[in-house]
Amino acid sequence: MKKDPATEDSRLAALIKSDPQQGLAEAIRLWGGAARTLCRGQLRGLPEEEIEECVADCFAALWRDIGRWQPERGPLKGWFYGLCRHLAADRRRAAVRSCSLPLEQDLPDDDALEDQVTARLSAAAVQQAVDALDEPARTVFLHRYYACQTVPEIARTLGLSQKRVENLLFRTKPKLKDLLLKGGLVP
Amino acid sequence: MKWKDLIATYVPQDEALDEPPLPAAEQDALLERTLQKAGLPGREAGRKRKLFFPRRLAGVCAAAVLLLFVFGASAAFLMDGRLLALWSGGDPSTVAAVQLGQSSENGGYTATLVEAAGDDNLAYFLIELQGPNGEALAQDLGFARVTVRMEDSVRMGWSCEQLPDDDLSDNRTSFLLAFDSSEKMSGRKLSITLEDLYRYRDEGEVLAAGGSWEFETAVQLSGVKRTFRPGGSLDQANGTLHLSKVTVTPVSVSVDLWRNPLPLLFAKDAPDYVFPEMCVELADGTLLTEEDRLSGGAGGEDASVTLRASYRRILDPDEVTAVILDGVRFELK
Repeated sequence: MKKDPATEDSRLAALIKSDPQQGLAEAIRLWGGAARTLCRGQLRGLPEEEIEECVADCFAALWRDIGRWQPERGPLKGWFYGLCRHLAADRRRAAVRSCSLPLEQDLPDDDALEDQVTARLSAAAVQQAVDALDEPARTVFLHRYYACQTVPEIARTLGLSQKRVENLLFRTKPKLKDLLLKGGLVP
Repeated sequence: MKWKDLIATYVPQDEALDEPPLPAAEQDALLERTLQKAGLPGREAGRKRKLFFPRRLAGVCAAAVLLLFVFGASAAFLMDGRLLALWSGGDPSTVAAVQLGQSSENGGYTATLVEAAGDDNLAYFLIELQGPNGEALAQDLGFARVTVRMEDSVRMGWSCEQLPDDDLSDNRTSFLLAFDSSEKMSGRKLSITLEDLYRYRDEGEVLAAGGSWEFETAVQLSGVKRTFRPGGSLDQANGTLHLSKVTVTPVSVSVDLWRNPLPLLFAKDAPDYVFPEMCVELADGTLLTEEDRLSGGAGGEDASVTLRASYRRILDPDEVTAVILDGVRFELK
């Protein structure tokens, strides 16, 4: 019988609080692979040890900050993935500042929205617009811009050709831009 | 603004960004590194119980058929020969045992929780695994992860190993799950999860069946027991251990102590806490040492410490005359 995800999230959060060793072991089993991908995407160009350190930092933060997770704002996994992305980005900025990572390792600065437009977007609008994309375009987009994976990595992960990944990204960006401009602007 | 910054507030809700689990060894390494970073005690220390099975267990279990014959004559006796074979002496009819017969199927493999034997705090579960028809299950199987939870969080430890199999050509084999809890387990709900069955071979591990086998049960293994309050204390480098209670059952000897002063276990420069070495003296002069153990462990995270040992010989609680901790004898009267 399939378990209710919300109940499972609450159970895992409680376990992380009451028995961190067991709770973290379970979290690592569930999300260790994704955490590594998220950290690697942000820290591309840094040594593997740096990435492994970052992944461990993410799970340590999961234990430390578990009290900050608010079930009504989304699943525990989504919150944790955001935590990973945030911590990895911090580490990346520190690496750039210390010149151990060159700036040009960043993703290309492509045709996203103007700053004055994005300032009027709400988080809910971004969520809604991304979730309105068709599959597999949405998944490819998330792998590219949320997990910061390269096109060959995405192709390998999702079992698509690189050309198809490139095409999907090419078509998705204007579509998402359109969705955001039409429906996502905060008045 | 870049797309990757624009999407920073997005909260993944589904499986789009999920990845397959890391290999078991990498999960373990990551967990240890995480616990270290978080300033938490290591996994074994966190469980506060360490169970171990000497290699000689294999030899003991090889006598299963013979023991089954000997004890099978007792009509009231339920215990499966594979569990009986854990012990090589003493009266098996004094060991509390319960038949379970609960099965869980996954990937063509059916795991059955056959039976449990033990006492209030220690249980040995016999798990039988049946593979797909025509598939031989060799002596190289193991579950990547085994989890046991008991309702109301308590300190506990466990170990699960494949038992020696006398027919490597059939599709059946069995495992022994040893579970040890600081609290009495009688009547409490136990959740047992076995995950990812692997074949461990010299050339590397191969996944035989992914997924999990899950059980929920509750066992009542209360039986013969004697409790002693010998008093006395044991001086150690970082404090004194006071003996409060010794409990003897046919399958274990447990020693409860409390320590003073409280150890600063989590302080940065705290010394490693060393649990005393325990031996058990019997009325006929036999001394049961760590060499004679079937399993054992020590645990305690605050003032209380519990040492527990299970021996390859079934004990008569009346024949246990003393426990010896780090060479100091405490008589049981």
